Amino acid sequence: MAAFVAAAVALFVITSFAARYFHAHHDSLADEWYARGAAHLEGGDPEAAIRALRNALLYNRDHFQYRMLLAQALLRAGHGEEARSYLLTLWQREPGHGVINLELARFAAARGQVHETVRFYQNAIHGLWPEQAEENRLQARLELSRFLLDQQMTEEARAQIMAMAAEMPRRSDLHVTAGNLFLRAEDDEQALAQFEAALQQDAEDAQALLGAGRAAFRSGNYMAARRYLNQATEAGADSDAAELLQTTNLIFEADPFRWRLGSLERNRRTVRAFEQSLQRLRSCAQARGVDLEADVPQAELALLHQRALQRKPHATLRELRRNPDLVEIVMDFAFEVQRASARHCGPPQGADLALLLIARQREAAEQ
Amino acid sequence: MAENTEPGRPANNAGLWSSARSWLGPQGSSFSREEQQFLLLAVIIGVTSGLAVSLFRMAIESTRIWLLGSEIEPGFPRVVLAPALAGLVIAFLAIRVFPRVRGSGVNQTKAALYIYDGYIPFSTVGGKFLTCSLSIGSGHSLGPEDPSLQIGAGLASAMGRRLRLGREKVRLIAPVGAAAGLAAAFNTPITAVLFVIEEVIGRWSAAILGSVVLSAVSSVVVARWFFGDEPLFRVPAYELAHPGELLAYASLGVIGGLSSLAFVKLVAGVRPRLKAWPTWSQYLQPAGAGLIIGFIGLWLPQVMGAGYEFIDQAMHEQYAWKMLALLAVFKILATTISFVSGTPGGLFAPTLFMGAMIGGAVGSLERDLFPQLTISVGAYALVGMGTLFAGILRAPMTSVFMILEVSGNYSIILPVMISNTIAYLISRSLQPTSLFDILSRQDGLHLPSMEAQREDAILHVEDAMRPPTTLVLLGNELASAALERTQRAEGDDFLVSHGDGGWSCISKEALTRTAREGAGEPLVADAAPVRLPLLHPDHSLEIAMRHVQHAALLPVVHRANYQQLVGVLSLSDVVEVYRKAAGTRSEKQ
Repeated sequence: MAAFVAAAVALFVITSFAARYFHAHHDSLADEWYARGAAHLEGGDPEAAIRALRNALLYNRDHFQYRMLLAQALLRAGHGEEARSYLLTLWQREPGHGVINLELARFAAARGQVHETVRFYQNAIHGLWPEQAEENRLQARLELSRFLLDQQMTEEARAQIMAMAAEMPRRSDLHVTAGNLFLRAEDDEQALAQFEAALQQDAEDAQALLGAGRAAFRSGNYMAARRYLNQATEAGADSDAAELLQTTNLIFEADPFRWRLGSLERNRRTVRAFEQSLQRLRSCAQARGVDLEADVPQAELALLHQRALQRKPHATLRELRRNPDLVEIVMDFAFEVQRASARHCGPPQGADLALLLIARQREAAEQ
Repeated sequence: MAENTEPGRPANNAGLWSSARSWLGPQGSSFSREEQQFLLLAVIIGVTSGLAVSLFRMAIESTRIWLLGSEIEPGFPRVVLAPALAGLVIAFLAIRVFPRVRGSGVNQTKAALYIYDGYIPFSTVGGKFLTCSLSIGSGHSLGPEDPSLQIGAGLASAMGRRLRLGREKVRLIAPVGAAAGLAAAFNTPITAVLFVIEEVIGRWSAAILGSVVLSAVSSVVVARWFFGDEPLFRVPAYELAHPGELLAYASLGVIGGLSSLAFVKLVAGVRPRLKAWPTWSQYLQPAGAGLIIGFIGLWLPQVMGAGYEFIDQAMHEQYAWKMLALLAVFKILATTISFVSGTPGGLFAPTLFMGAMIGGAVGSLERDLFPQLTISVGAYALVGMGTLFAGILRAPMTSVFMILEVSGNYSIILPVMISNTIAYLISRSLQPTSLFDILSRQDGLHLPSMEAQREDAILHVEDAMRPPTTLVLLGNELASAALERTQRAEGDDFLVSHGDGGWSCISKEALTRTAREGAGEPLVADAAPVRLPLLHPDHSLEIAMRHVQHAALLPVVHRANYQQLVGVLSLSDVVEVYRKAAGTRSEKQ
C-alpha cells in the first residue's frame, strides 16, 4: 500500500507540472485570441471578432470579459438572440452588472416585455458599473423613462424623470432633455422649471426657450409663453415656435378678460368672439351635415345655433356698452359653442383655438 | 436488485449490548481488516485515477492543438489529414501493440468483471491513454469519458492484483476504478457512481457503494484541483413558465427516442459488416474513417472530436434549428463511422452532442411555431442531452442525475424526467437489446445485461409460501397431548410456536419419540429446542433458499407480530416456483 501511495505522489508531481504548462499555454492562447477579437471589434469587423472570441472561450470558457465582449460583438453583428443568450448566462453570474442589465433591458424593451424591461433597467440604474458609472446610470434612467412614456405609464415615468432630474449634473442639455420628458409626462410645471434651469446656463438656448414656451403655453401662462416663444423664434427655433407664438398672440388679441383692457376694446373682442364662434358653429354643422334651419332642432349644434340667434341681438357693441354684464354671458356662450364644435368637429385652429384656450383658462381659474 | 435484509430474529436485550460492543470495540469490529484495506484502497484508486484521467484530458487537448491548431474550426488540410494519419497510427497500435484498447471501454470493463475475474492488463491502460488521445485529439467523433472509465478500471485492477487481494475483491475492484475514471472525466461524482452501479455492476451493497463513492469522490477532488469546479455547461436561466411546456418536452422525448433508435440500428448494422472485411483492411479502416470525418469537418467542423464547445454554443442559441438538425444528423454519421471502424474512443460525449443538437432543434422549431410558450432553446438542448443518453446508453437514472450535475440547474428536473423516460421507453420497446449488449455479443462476449436483470421479476417468499393451514403446536404443551393432535392432522412435520415470537419445526417421529421416551411429562419445546430463522412474505426467495434446506418447514410470519403465522414454506415450494419461472422465461424467449 505504501508503494501505491508513493506512486500516487509521484504521479501527482508529474500531473502538477503538466497542468502548470497546460494551463499556461491555454491562458496564453486565450489572451492571444481575445486580443485579436478586441482588435477586430475595434476595427469594425464584428464577425471576425466573434470567431476570435469563440476561440478565446475555448481556452478559458468561464472568462467573464471574454463572454462579455463576445456578447457585444454579437450585438454589433446583428445576432441579437445569440447575444441575449450569452448575456443571460452572464447575468446569472453577475446579476448586478450594469452593462449586462442595460443590454438585457434593451432586448426586453424591443420585445415589449414591460415587467422585464423595468426590472433590468432598475438593475442597471442601481447596479455596478466598471466605468463612467454616473453617465451610464443616467442613460439607463433616461431610456427607462422613455420606455414608460411609450407604454403610457405616465405616473411611473414621472417618478423616474424626477429621480433623474434630482441626480443629474447641472448641464443645459440635460435640463432640456428632462424638460421635454416632463412635457411628455404632462407635468408642465416641472417641465418649465427644467427649461428655466437650462436657460440660467444658456439664456439663448433655442431648444430651452421653445420648451419653456411650450410648458408655459400648456399651463396657461400665455404671458410667459409669448416671451419665451418670441425669444425662441429669434434664436432660430423650428417652425413649431412660430406656430405656437401665433396662437399665443391670438389669445392675447382675443381675450376680452385681459387685465387693464379698456371697455371699448373688451366689447369689440366680445362681439368678435361671438361672431367667430357662430361662424365656427356654422362650418362645423355644415361639415357634419346638420340642418341648422330645422323647425325643431334635435342636434346639439342646431340647438346651439338657435340659441346663438337668440343671443345675437345682445352681442352688439351698443348692447354691451349699455350692459357690461353681458360680456360675461356672451363670452360664456361663445366658449360653449367652441367646446361643442371641438367635440363634434375636432380641434380648432387659429382664432377658434385661441378662444377655446381662453375658455379653458377661465375654467381652470374658476376651479 | 436482490434484497439484502436477513430473516428476522426475535428481540433479545442481551444481544443488543454485545452487538454494540462488537461494532464499537476494537475486537471483532464490524469492518474486517480486509474491508478497511479495501476502502483505503478505494481512496488511493480514486486519487490515482483522478490524476491519470486529468493527464488524459490534458493529453487530448494538447494533441488537438498540435494536430488541428488552436482554432475552434480548423482549416484545410489539417482538418482532413490529421484524423486520417492519426487513424493509421491508431490502427497499428490497436492491432499490434495494444489489442484490448478497441471499443468504448464500458464493455471491456464489464468483461473484466464477469469473465476475466477483474483482470485488465496494465498495458491496456497505457494503450487506451495513447490511442484515445490520438483519436479524439485528431478529430474522430468520439469522447473521452468511456476510455477514462476503462483507464480507471485498469489502474484499479493492477493495484488489486499487486496487493494479492482475494478473487472476489479483485473482481469488484475494476468497477471501483471505473467509477473514479468516469467521475474525473465528467467532473460528476454522482453520475459516475450511478452509471457504474446501473450499467456495470447492476447491484449494490453497503461495501460496494462505499468503495465506489469513496473512489469517485477522491477522483473528482483531484480533477477539480487541476480543472476547477465549474459545471461542464453554463446554461441560461430556465423556469417552467407554463405547464403546457411539458408537452413540448414530451415531444422531444419522442423524437429523442426515435433518434436513439436510429443511431443504435446504424451502429449495430454497420459494425459487423466492417468487421467481416479482410484483416488487412482493419489497418486502414480508422484512417478511412478519419478521412471521411475530415471532409465532413471541412463543412461542419462541429462534428469533430467530443464537441463540448459546440454544445455550449447550441445552449446559447448560436444556431438556427436547421443547422442544429444538420449537426445532429452528421454527428450520428460521424460517430458511427469513427466507432465502427474500430477507432478507440467513447460514446458519452457524442451522445450528449447529438442530444444537445436534437433538443436545440426541437426547441427552436417549437418556439417558432408556438411563440406564446416561453421556450428556452438552451434548456431544450440540455434536456436533449439527457434524452439521448437515456435512449442510447439506456441508463435512465444516470441520465437524470447527469443533467442535474453537468448543469447545476435543478429547475430543469421535471422536463428531464419526462423526456428521458419517454425516450427510454420508446428505445426499449423498439430495440429490446441495448447498444452495449449488442456490441458485446458482436465481440463474442455474453455479458449479463443489467437492463434485462432490472426487468426480471424478483421472486419473493409470498410467491412460494402456502397458507398456514397446517397444525401448529405450542411449545409449552405436553408432548403427549400434541402427539394426539397430530394424529388427526395431515403431514409429517409441524411448526412449533414458543409464544415469544420464536418458532421451531418438529417431525411426527421426533414428537412420538419424545412423548414415549421422555422423562416425566416432556413438553413439545423439549423436543424442538432449535429456533428457526423467520421469513417474511416480502423476503426474496434467494434469502429463503439459504435457510429452507435446513428445515422441513419454515414459518413465514407477520412483520409486526412474529407470533402471527401468515404462511409456511418448504424446499419443494421454492423449487416449484423457480421451475415455473424458468418455464415462463423459456416461453418468452
